[in-house]
Amino acid sequence: MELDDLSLVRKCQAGDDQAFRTLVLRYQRKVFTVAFALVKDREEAMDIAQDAFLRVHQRLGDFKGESSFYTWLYRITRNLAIDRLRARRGDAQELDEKAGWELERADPGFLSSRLGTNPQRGVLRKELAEQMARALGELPEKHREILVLREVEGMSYEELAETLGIPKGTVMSRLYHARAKMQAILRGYLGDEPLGLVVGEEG
Amino acid sequence: MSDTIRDTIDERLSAFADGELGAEEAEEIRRLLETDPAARARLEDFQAMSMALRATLDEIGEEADFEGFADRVMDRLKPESPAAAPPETAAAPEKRRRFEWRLRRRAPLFAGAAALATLAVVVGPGLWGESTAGRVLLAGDPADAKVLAMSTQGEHGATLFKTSEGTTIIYLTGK
Repeated sequence: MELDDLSLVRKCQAGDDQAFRTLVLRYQRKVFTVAFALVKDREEAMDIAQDAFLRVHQRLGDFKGESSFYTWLYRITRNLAIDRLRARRGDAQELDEKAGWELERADPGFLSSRLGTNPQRGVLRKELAEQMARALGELPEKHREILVLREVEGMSYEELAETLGIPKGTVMSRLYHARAKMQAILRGYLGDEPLGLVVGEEG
Repeated sequence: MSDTIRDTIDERLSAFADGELGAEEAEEIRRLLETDPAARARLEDFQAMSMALRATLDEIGEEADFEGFADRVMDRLKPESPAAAPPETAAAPEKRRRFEWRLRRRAPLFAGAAALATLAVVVGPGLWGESTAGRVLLAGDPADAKVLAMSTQGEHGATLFKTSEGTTIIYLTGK
């Protein structure tokens, strides 16, 4: 039977390196994806992922289980990623300064008609995936972060509030603004081309 | 509809798409959706974007190569092998401190050499006897020299630098 995170952490704290390896294998992709979404560079994201696990291992003794292991790991990953962004001579700052920009709203139904609405049948086309990644990269850091946590990690608003240290009402508003901005950017990219999910029966 | 009103409604639509509205607010949105096709279209936009974003981020994670990743992490957790770092003698820390102090004391020497843009192997002044003091043996620019290694043996020390041009500099010190 697969052990839960807390049981694995307890084993690590008792000196079981194999348990730590299991945690690395369990979360490596998530940690990488979150780091990538923040720093937008695969190689750097891989370095951050590795450093995050090392940092977690160093601080295992401090983990009391008050938050989930992943929330803790995420915070460490995020801090490392933000340090890297800052080291890039204020890159993060520049992104956040764009937060007040004005973008033309997408017409209602614009995205659903381009992207499709059935995730079970949809296969993301490479071109669209690239446009999505590019649009995500253009968002201010705080918007990119909240979208990734919601969509990749599936965090609830409660968990987002706890992880990001903001009130639940701010979570709702920030997510909405992130989505609206993302939609407006995508509108510029997608234009009227019939680009989107290939929808059809699989198999 | 003003942008402010639309933002208020859309913020709720976004939260409704996430299943995060309270019962009462969710009911209001359901009623709105029955009568407002534009609101329905905007809800579908939120859902479509979430789906596409999830697929994109999943793909980014799936494309990354994690072969050997866990091994590399575990390797970095291992303490350095004792063979790689010989145990220090009781006197060694004191000698190293003295060596580092001498190096700091001679920092102006590096600044001067940077101005001349010539320095590669320097035998520290007064450290190996007056006859060898301050000899410049190779050319290079130590202005942004990076310390690669420092070592001490007996009363002597050596610091290995590398400049941006790739020139290696050895700085020797001794009693």
